Amino acid sequence: MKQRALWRRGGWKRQTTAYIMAFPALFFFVLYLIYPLVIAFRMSLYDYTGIGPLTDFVGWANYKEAISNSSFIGALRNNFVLMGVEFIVSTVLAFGLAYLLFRGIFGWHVFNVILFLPYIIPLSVSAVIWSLIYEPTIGLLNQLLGELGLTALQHTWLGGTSTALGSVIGVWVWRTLPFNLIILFGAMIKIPGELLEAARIDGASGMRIVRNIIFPLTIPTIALLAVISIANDFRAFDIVWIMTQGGPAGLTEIASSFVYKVGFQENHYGYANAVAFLVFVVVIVFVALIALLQRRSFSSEKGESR
Amino acid sequence: MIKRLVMTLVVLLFAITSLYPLLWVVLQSLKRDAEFFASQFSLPREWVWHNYADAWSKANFALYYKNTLIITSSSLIFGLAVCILAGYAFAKIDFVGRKTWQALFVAVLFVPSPVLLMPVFFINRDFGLINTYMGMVGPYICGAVPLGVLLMSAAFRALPGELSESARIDGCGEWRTFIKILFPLTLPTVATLCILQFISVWTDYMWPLIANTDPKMYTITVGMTQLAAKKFVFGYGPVFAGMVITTFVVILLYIVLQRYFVRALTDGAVKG
Repeated sequence: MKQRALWRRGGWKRQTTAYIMAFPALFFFVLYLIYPLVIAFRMSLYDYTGIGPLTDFVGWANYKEAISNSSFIGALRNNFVLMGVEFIVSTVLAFGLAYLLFRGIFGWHVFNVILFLPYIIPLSVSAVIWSLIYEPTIGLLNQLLGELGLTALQHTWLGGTSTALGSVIGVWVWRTLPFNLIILFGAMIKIPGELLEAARIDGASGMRIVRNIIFPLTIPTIALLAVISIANDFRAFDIVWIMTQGGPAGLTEIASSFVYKVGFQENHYGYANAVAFLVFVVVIVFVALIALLQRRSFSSEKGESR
Repeated sequence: MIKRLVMTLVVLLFAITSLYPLLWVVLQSLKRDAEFFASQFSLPREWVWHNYADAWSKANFALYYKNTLIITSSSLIFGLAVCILAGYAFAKIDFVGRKTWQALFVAVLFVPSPVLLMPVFFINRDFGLINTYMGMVGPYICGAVPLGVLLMSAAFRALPGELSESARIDGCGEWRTFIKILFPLTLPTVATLCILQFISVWTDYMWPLIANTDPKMYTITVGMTQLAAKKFVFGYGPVFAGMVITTFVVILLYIVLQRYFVRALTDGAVKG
C-alpha cells in the first residue's frame, strides 16, 4: 500500500531528488528556527547565567516572576501604547495622503518616490538622525522652535518624562507611514472606476464617497496593516535601543529592549527567554483576534472571497 | 484647480518631513562642527570632505563596509539558492512531508525576533561560530527560507504544466528542465526576494549587535551607532558622514529600481 502511494508520487528517485533540492533550505530552517524555539522554551524553565550546561531547573518560576514584575508589565504596556498610537496615527494620516494621491495632485510621481524614503533607510540610521534632531541644545527641533520664537515649546525631548515615549512614537510613525500609504494607495487604485463614477453622477460629495465607498472597501487592507504593524512593532528595538535604551526610568522600555537587557546585559537567560515566550503568546493572541474580527465583519457584510 | 493646488501643498508638507531630515544629514556631513553649532539651516560655507575620510579610516568604516559587503552578498547568494531549489521541489514534486513543512513555514512567520535571539546566539557559541562570517550568515539564510520558499514555490506552480511536460518529451531530465526552462521564468519573483534579502541584511542592527564580541566583526549599522555614541571624540561631522555612507547604497538602489523596490517590500510584507 505504502509502496503504491510512493509510486504514485513518482517513486523513490523523485522523492530523493525532492529531498536533495529541499535539504539545504530545511537544514537552515531547522537549525536556526525550529531548534532554537525548542531550546528557548527549555531554557525558559531553567535558571541560566549563560555558562555551562542547563542544570538549575525551576519550572514555571520564570514565567511567574515575569508576570509579577512591574518593569516587564510596564514594558508590555509601553509596547501596546506604541503599537496603538502608531497604528492609529499612521493609518489615519496614510489614508488621508493616499486619498489625496488617489484624487490626483501635481507631480504625484515625484511625491511617491519621496514619501517612501523613510521606509527605505536603515532603522538604525533613522534612530541616530532623530536622536540628533531631538537633542536639547543643538538639536534641529529645538533650534527650529527657537527660530520661530516658540521657545515655550522647547523640551528635552528624549530625556523628559512626559515627552520621551511620545518622541519615540513620533519616529516610529515617521517610519511606518510610507508603508501604510503605499498599501492603502494600492487598495484605492483597485476600486472599480464605475463605482466611483456612478456615485459622482448620483451627486455624492467627496466626503460621502470616502465614507460610503472608499473606506468600507479598504477595511480588509486596514486589518492587514494592523497585523503587519503588530508583527513589526517588535522591530522598534533598533529605535528604542539607540535613542533611549529604554530610559528615562523605563518609560520607553518595550518588550524587545527588556529581553535584550535582562538576557545579554544581566545574564538572566532563563528569565529573558520566559519573557520572550510570553511576548510571543501575546502576538499570536492579537493576530488571531484580528483575523477573527475580520472574518466576522466579512461574513456579516457579504460572502466576498479573500 | 485651486483645490488641486491645496491638495498638492498638503502632500508637499509631508514630503518635506520625509525628505528634510535626510537632506539635513547630508548638509551637516559637509560642515565643520563649529559651523554646525552656529547655523544648521544654511549651506556649508566651505565643503569639508575630510569628515568622510575621518569616518572611513579613523572610525574604521572601511572595515565595517567590507564586513557588511561580505555578509550581505553571501546571505543573498546562499539564501536565494536554497530558496529557489526548495521552491522547485515544493511546487513540482509531491514529496513525503511537503504539507507539514509548508504549514511550519507559515506558522513561524509571526515568531518575534526576541524569542530567537538568545538560542541562536548559544547555538553559534556551541559550534564556535561567534565572530565568524559563517555564524553571521547562517541565520540570515534561515531568515530567507520561510517566505522565500513559499514565494518561489508559488512562482513555480504558476507556470503551465505543459512546459515541463514538453521538455520531458524532448528528453530533458528533471534538473535540466528546472534550470534551463522553468527557472528563467521565475526571475521576477527572484528579483523580489533579492531586494527583500538585501534590505533585511544590509539594514539589520539587532543580530550584528549581539552575534559578535569582537569589534572587528561590526557591520556598518553597528559601527555607525558606535560612532554616534563617540561623537565627543570624533566630532559631529564624521557621525553625519557615517550615516550618509551607511545609507547611500540603499537610496541609490531604491532610486534606480524604484518600482521593483516598492513591489518587493509591499509584497514581502503582505504575503508574509
